[in-house]
This record gives sequence, structure tokens and C-alpha cells, in this order.
Amino acid sequence: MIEINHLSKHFKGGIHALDDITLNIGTGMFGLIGPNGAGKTTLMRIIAGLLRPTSGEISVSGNDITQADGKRAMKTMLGYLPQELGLYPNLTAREFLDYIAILKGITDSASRKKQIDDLLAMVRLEDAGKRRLKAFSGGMKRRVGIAQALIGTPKLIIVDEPTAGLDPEERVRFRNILSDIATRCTVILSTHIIEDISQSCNDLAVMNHGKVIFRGAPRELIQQAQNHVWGIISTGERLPQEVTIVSTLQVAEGVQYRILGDPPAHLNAQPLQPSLEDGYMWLMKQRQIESVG
Amino acid sequence: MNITAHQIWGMAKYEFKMHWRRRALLVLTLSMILILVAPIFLSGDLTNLTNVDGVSEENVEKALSLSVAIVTWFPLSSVLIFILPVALADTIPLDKQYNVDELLRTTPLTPAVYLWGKLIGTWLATLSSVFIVMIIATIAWISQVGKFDYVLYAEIWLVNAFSITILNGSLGVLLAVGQPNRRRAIVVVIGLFALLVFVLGFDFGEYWNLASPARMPMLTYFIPIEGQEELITTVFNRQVMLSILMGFVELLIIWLAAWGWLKYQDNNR
Repeated sequence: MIEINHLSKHFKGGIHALDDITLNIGTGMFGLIGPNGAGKTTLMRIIAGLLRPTSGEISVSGNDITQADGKRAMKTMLGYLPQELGLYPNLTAREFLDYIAILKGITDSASRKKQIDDLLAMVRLEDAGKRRLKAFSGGMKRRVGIAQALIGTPKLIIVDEPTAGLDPEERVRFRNILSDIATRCTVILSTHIIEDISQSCNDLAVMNHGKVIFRGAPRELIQQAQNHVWGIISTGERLPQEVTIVSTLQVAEGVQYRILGDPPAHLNAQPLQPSLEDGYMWLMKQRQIESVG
Repeated sequence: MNITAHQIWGMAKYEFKMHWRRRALLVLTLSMILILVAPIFLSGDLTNLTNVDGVSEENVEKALSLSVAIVTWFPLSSVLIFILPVALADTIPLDKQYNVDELLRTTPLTPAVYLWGKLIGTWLATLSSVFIVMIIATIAWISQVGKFDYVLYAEIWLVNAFSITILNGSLGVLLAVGQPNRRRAIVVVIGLFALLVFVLGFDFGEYWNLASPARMPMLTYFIPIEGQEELITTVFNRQVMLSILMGFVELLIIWLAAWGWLKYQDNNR
């Protein structure tokens, strides 16, 4: 579906947002994680045709999107939800979705209406469809954004932090919607919420400093932290600086830590099964050690 | 309908709605109604002119018609020439201010279709505003004056007012195309209009006079100049028609510049 070869993007001021990225993304849910400034949003904006790469090749379903024709063809199959979503405050949710549907080339008004009804029901806004967007809360606006990304049954959906601002129930609902859609198209999901990735993606990439530092299935990333995750209950002992604390919990016996690294024997650490978050944290820790070394 | 025409129509429809739901067009429409209709009732009973001794009925009607033309045209043309472009300056920059432009650029919408959609929607909104003002002002004049030169009056609205609405309204939209927000757009349009009208407006000869956004042949059309009264009541006056034609040429050039700018932006992000 998406083929990226030696893609780089440099901004003015010598900022290398993407540095020689090569990546193939097929049908299904693809997760993109990494710290702030890793280049995730730049990569997604290039795939969406919003930015031009400085060098390299990128094609979506065989369309070279560095060329005008290819970019236009790609946009007919794209659903996009940006990190900072903008809406027209003076339009109603229904009107805004109709507007986007028209721009996406859905010419049949009955088909547009049907899709909008279905999408408003899907994001649970059917009762608010005739209200102006300026009266919507942040979470409701996010749901309108999700609905507009799904208009026109796109073959490629790019969502940047889609669940930010949603309550836990809505987050799970949206995750399930995306997982369902991903059975018949490509969904690229960028998020800081590792749980969203672990619950929905079968393929992922970790980015750091404009490079892809890991590519594989979630279980492979988890595997990286195998034998490096420990549980410790501390009654006041100081933890060595070499370990990374993943979580802290007050319990009756003291403070329970989940740590990454090799704890000293006297702390009586117990081995734990790593999670995706542990795998990610371990990977980032190793990269940090390598770059310092 | 093909997809391009459908996109233009869809954009125009929603641009029309958004213009009417914002404050600027509503305030402009109400202001035009106020400044056009209030003087009609404040000017007293103009039909008293018929009682002046020695003046023929034909001349009375001419005088009445001229009064109607002058009282209507000066406030109307001033608003349409100088205020309307400023009121419409934020049409495109608001997309950036609201952060909607990023979303629009992920749809298969070309810069040309985007500009046409915005312009046609703006024309529909502003022409409907002027049309409403025209209906109200006409009712007011008929109720106050009765019979006057309807052809001359219709020309004021249908030729002069409507064409200036399209020309200067479009200039307001297009000159601010590269601005990131409402405030910058308004400042830029005021600045450019001041430059075009007041700085370049002096002594640049007949062509500039015809092309100037001040639309001088139209602005001064109803000023009665001694010995040229015939011109005033000539429908489709040559200078006015030339000014409209030059205005459309000017509009085409600025449209091409705006389109080029959007294309350049699209290719250089």
C-alpha cells in the first residue's frame, strides 16, 4: 500500500525532521510511536500530501505522491485526522461533514446523507448534528474530526493522536472502530498512548530523531524487554540510578516500583512479564545509552 | 455534474452560509439599509418640487430622478468601494486561523477550485445582501417620491452596484489570500486599497482612472456637471462600461497571482 524509500525532510535552520527513512506499510493497523519531535507528524504529513519530502520516494497504492497527479489520486482515497483539528465554528456538525464529503468528491446527495447519518451515529453525535460546532466541547469536536476522516470509505486513514481529549469509554469505542475498519484498509495511527497501539496494532514503528529505530510486531517490541522488567517493594531503600522507574504505587508494605534494568540483589526484585510500554521504554533507554556511549 | 463543478458548488453553498452567519456581512447590510433609507425619510417631501412655479412636469421628474440617484448612489458606492473589501478580507485567512486549511488540503481540492468556490460563495452572499438593500430602498423611495426614472434607478443597482460588489468584493478576498489571520488580512487590504486608491490615484491618466479600485467613472457618474446632464441619464455609459471591463481584467490578473501563490505554497511546504 505505502512504499517509502530513503525519505528525508529538512526544514529551514538545519532541522532534519526525517533522516533517510525506508518503510513499507501494508493493509491493517500500523502504529507509529516515539517521543515528541521524533518526526512522526512530519512523516504522516508527507504521506497525506501536506509536505514535500526533501529527498526520497514515496508512493501510495502505486501513486507517486511527490508528483501532482499521484498526490491528487492519493487524496481521493485518504481520510485524515490532524493532531490540531480545525473546524468551521459557524457550521453545524452535519453541515461540516457534508462540506468535507462534497470536497472528497461524493456527488450523490442521498449517499452523502446516509454516510453522515451513519457516521454521526458511530461517533454518538446523532442528537448534536444540527448544533453549531462553536458550541461543541473538545471531545465532541474530536468525534466530529473522527467522523470526517471516515467519510467516503477511504483506503488510507491517517490519524494523529486521535484519542486525545476523549473519555476512556469513547477511546475504547474509537479504537474498536479503527480496528474494524483496518481489516479492509490501511490505518496509520500515531499516538503517545501506548495502550492504544497495544490493543489495536499488528504492526508498528518506533521513531526517534527522525529515524525508524524499530519496526515489527508489538510482541517483538515486548520481547526486547524480556528479563529486564522487575517489581520491587521498597520500604525506604534508594533505587540505583541505572534503573528506569516505569510506575510507582503506594501499597501497605511500602512503595511498589516497576523498573527496567538490572536491580541489585539486595532489593529482592521479582521478574515481571514485560508490556508494550516496557518494550518501548527499554528500546528508548538502550538508544540513549548508545548515543551517550 | 462533474466532481470539479460539484466541489465549486458545494464550497460556494457553504461559503454563502458562513458569510451570513458571521457578523461582518450582517452589520454591513444593516448599515447600508440605515444610510440609504434614513435620508429618504429625513429629506422631507421631495414631491413639493412640483409646486414650483414655471417648472415643467418633465423637468420636475428629471430633478426628482437625479435626487434619487445621488442620494442612493453616493453612500452606496462609498460602502461598496471602500468598506466591502475590508469586510470580506478575512474570507480565506479565516481557514488558516481556524486551522481548517490543513484538512482541506488533504481532500482532492485544487487551488483553482478552492479560489472559485470561495469567490462564488462570496459573490452569492454579497449580491444577496445588496439585493435585500435594493428592495428595501426601492420600497422606501416609491413610498416617499412615487414616480421617478426607474431605468436610471435600476442601472444604479443592476449595473453599478452589482458589478462593484463583484469587483471590489473579490479584490478584498484575493488581496488577502496569503495572510494567516483576520487581523493581518484586514490591515493588508486597507493598506493595499489606500495605496491603490489614494497614492496611485493621482495623475496616472485615463487608464489608471478606469482601472483604479476607486472606480472613478462609476463613483462620479451621478455628479451633475454643467452641460453634461445628458451623460448622467445615459444608460450603459461608455466610461462606466470600460471601467467595469478594466475591473474584470484587473480581477483576472489578481486571481492568477493568488492562484500562483497558492500553487507555490502547496509545492514548497
